[in-house]
Amino acid sequence: MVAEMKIKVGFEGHFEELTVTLPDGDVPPYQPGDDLKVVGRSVPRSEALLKATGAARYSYDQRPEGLLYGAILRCPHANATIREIDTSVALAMPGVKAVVTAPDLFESRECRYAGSEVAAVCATTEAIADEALRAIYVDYEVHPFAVTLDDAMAEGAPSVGRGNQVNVDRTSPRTARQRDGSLNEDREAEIRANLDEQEERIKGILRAAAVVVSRTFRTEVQTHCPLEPHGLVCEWKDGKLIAHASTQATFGAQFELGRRFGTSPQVICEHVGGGFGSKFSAGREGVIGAHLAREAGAPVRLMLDRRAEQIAVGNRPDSIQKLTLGLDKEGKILALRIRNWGSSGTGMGGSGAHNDLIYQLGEVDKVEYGVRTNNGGARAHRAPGWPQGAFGLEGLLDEAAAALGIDPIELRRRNDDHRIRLAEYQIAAERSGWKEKHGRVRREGPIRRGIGMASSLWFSAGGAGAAVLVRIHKDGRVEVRNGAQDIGTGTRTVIGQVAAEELGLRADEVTVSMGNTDDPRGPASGGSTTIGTVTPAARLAAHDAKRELLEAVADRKGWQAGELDLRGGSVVDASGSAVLSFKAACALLDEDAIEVLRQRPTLSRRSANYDGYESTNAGVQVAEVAVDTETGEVRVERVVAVADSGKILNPKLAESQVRGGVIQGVSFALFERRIMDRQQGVMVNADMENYKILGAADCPEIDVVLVDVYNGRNNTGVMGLGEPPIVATAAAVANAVSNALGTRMTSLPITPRKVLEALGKAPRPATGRKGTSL
Amino acid sequence: MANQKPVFLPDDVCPCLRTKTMTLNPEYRRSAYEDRFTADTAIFHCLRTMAPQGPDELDCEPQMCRPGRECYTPDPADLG
Repeated sequence: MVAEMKIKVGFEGHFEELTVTLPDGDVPPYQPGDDLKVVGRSVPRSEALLKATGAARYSYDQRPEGLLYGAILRCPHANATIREIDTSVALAMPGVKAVVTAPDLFESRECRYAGSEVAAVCATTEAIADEALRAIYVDYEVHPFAVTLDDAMAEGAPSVGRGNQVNVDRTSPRTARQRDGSLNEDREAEIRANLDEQEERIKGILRAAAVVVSRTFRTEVQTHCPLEPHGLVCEWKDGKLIAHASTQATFGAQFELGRRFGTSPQVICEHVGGGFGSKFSAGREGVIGAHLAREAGAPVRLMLDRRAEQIAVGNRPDSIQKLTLGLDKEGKILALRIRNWGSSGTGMGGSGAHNDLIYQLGEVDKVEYGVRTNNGGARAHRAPGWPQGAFGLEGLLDEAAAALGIDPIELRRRNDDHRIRLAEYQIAAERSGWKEKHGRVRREGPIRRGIGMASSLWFSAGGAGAAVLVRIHKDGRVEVRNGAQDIGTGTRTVIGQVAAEELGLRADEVTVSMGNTDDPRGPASGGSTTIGTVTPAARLAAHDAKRELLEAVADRKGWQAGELDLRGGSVVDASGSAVLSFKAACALLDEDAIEVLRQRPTLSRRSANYDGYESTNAGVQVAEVAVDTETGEVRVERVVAVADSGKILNPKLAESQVRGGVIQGVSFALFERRIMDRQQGVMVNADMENYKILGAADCPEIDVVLVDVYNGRNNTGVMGLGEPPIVATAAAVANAVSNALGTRMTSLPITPRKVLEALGKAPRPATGRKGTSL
Repeated sequence: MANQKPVFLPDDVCPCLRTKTMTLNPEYRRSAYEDRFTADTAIFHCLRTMAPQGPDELDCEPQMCRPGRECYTPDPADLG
């Protein structure tokens, strides 16, 4: 059963009416002009004080009685096979309670990168655990390796994989490989024929284009660097596993551990010290920790150290993007040819770069290749594939604009039909003083200042699968419960706001509990889906709990429930006059509490949201930089970040998300890169000292402009904002540096050396290896 | 990603195959977004190895993790 209704959608100056089909029983989305008292307000994070004072308890802080300490032995070789492991000496050491090996737990003796798990111990102290690791004897058969894109792609490169696995393979469209790794020749010939036809078509378009620009762009591997490492504190109680895990997916971790151990574990995660996409799986460390705890018969803490964080639990793949863009003389894009290479470690998945989705690009010929290297595997990293893809395309767009003599923002406007972003271009231009600054490189001694811009896109209004419990107690307390985690984005706070709004209460009068799989199901925090998935369920549950409360009050008082509402901490009548306090109303309940559990309203299994104003977020950023032409140092002085995410439920928290994305994006643009020792096969900057990330002193002024969009699509009208703000930043910074220098920056991070190379003040290093197939 | 849509994995994909999108929607944990937007950024792992390769050392992905593969595990009730 569904209901049709007309709603108002759009944003300031751009409102229109839209007929939508709502899921049965759902409440209509917030509308312009609604008198909202809590939603849309900058309520501080509900856990802010706990975090600021150190009282928040993370996984690491759990200290059950009899806690043992786990540690993992990792392979020192980039490519090896374990011939033999002897753990007997370690197991006999005083204080050592259990030892496990990777071949036993994970059915593989192969170590495909330096840092892969070999064995693990738990002991009464961390020192004993470390000592025990040193007592484990391992005999390796060591193989040749390739740890960089260039090395793995070179002619005659050592084979990273096993059997028929090749180092370089087409991932999109996928090579027609059979299960043993060999080619399905007929199918592959068919794919190649289609690709050839596509390429010929694009070549024809490019030949007729007024302007053709072509560049090769490179980005480096970026690690996640969450301040709280991966890991867990776990124990077994009466055959049930209880895991305090640092995770972005409490139910995902529960599922994986449950499958591994044939039980339904309880996963608890009250606070998360960052994840950025790397904490969806229970991980090998989760399985190891649970095994150790079971074997030892005692709780075990197994949290990774910083080195392991940098090498073993994910990263954003690097990329080589060879792009060609053709435009007509009016600046209309006719075609884009894309060839991408990226390495996600020993596997092939996840190495793509998204550079064909934001603008109207005409014909697109895109082929992507995965490159197998002897490195720890990639994982989703805040907007996977997008920052690197945007860097390439936005750089090329700026070159095209210059070739055509068209302002870069105007060029983008001519190739964009996103109604929100079209307005955001103007906001960003005005806010940054674009017209005055672009095209006029400002020099001050050795300092040159430049300005650049880029756009973003995201797509999440949430999905099905969340349920929220609202409990109104007889004493007036209100609880809202959902088992998903709040990874620091403020989900807990916003859920409370949405419930409080329905119940006519202040946000601090509602207690929200998250991060416990004993509570109703919730999603992983990924794809910027959490808020759009959970808040509609919270709103509906609070709405229905309110109706139950008002019916109980009406029944006891002889009033008409339909004429009552909750506002300002009171029951109000049809005239809006307070007739009873909220607490007094709750005291009239016969039961101890009203409990309402509601699923996230959805239209159907395959279509979670109804039509709205735009199905995607937009976003435009403008960066201003100062480049020291003597030292090569780049400082990002200011970023104007115009962002939208449907209805802004909490401006302060939304702004915080944008700031976080910009900071991480500037860091990607200027500092971050995994450096591999090509001779030893190990990461040489696997710590927080030599792996450079942006610090407070490097942080630009960030001017956030939020566009509040009544988007519809779900009952809170909200869309995710975790990932979109990072999409454009590095591209905007690179364009600003290119603007300042008058030469295109084609490689991230933009280190001082690269700036000096661009200025001709330092020699360019040789790139590529013999036979690299670019 | 206006035209993004969930594509459900075939029923006979190995239950040990995992990827991030399976965790986003707990109701449909066997689903994965596989259209052109995310296929090239989807990263799979195996529950048995907790790695991008299965116990047979070949890659984990929907096309590969099907009945007939040596390590195919139709009922991973207890991998512990």
